[in-house]
Amino acid sequence: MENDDLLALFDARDERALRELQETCGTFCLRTAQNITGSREDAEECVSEAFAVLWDRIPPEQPYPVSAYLLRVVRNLALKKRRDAKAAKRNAGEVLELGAVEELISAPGPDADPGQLRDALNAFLGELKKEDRILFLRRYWFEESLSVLASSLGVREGTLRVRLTRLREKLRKKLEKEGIDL
Amino acid sequence: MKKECLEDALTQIDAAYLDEAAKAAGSSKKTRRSGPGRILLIAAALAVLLIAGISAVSPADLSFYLDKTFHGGYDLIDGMTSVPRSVAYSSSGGGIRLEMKGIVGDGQAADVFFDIIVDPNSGLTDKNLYFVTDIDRVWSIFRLPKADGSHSWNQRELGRETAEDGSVVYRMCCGIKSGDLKRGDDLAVRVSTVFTVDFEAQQKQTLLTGKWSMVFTLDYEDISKVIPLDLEITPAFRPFGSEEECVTCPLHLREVRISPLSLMLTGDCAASDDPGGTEFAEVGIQYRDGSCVPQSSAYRMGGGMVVLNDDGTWRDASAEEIAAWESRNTITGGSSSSRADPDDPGRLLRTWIWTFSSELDYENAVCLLLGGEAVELQ
Repeated sequence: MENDDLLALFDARDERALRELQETCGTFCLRTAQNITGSREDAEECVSEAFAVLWDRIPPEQPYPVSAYLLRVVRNLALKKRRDAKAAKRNAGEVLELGAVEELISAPGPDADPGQLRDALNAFLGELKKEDRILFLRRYWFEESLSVLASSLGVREGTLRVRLTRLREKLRKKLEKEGIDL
Repeated sequence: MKKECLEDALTQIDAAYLDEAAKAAGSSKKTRRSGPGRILLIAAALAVLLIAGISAVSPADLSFYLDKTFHGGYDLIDGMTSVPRSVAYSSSGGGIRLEMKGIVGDGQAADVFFDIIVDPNSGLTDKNLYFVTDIDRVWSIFRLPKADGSHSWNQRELGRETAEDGSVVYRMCCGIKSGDLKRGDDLAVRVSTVFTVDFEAQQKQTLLTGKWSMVFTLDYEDISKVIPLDLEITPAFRPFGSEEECVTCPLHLREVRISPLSLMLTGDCAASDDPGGTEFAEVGIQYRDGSCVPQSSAYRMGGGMVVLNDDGTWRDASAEEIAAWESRNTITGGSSSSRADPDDPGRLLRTWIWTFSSELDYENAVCLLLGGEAVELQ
């Protein structure tokens, strides 16, 4: 279904919009949320909530494409769940697990301006070859594990590690140029 | 920079990049080589092996084996938390070469993929060839089938190809009940005597006598996923051999572990509710598209690891009793066991295990049907 048709269903308050989204990206949303939260239960909760958020926001919002918008909402909810869970663990004195993004940060320091950082990331992604851009996002946006990525791409994990190290280095240099420290 | 700041900025990247990556990830399949490409690759690999005479091989691309084994192919494997590993062992000599390709498995079972490569100069043909294999002390005899899909016991030929030098490569899969206890053990694929059989004359002619042995470590990552449950059901069981009697047992289901190879359900019930004795429940798997795995019988033998006495008390089963149950379970495709709940002497912990012939498409399996009750799997 085309994006406009999907938006028209949302505008008409037709629940087929949600069914269509569920069929086309439900499983993938669930997988992404599970990658981030590490819990099937939490992931299902995030995806259900994300559908409710979309139902509330469209209209008036008219995102393009709706699927990417849904993924963003799912990721936001999943990140929140992970942060809450980590805070609870931290308070309980438990060992914290590291997310994929942790690989990108060399040392905790002052935060960058969110808008400037987003623009720099977009510029960085725009300069990458398509396959590198997809790899970068699958690892750091969708938080797919190295083993899943290696199997999916038909390469060894070691090869992926090397490619990701180079991409991280490129990102670091790009952000440095923009005056942003990772 | 704090991690949260970078995470939030990443979330806001351009939707076009996100859409591009989502499409690539959502429809990802392992890179596959085309048919002719694969044949050329095999020929090249064989040439290297023949010229160099080396015994080790590179880790294999398992796409061929997985596609042939699992309905869901790579889509199925990609959805799992871990992936099968290629392993590289080989053994050669006397016109027959064995090459290990990889292992995929879970806590109950494993599929071992390997090739048997028959040299054209050996004078052997695939017609009436018999191989005797020994894997983990379990002996079986199988005949390389004339048609795809034919197989004996749990070993099957996934396909065969003829290399440029005339070698015939038989791509094999051997399913074994490994379980967590056997992971890390050294096992072997052995090809011993090769002979032809004239069935009408009931005569056999030995063509080659020898032992080809490929030892490998049963090393793999568990590909199953766990679905937590907190569900009360009351399935109906029938005593073994009876079509009339029906016994219900209220069960509290805790979790299900599912993979293409097996499905394990765990739960508990009050010891007083346990029907005891030999029993089975009708089992089926409902798929999203409405189709259903054909019903099979899941047997439970005499309370599994405990035996219920006539007065309602129970005792631990003897090793002989357990061995007898296990030997009977091997013909059913399903088994279950019970043991006392250490936290509550009044309850039994119960486990059901069903193994499937490497065909459970778990991502599309929506429901387990057990004794007239349904357990959601998604």
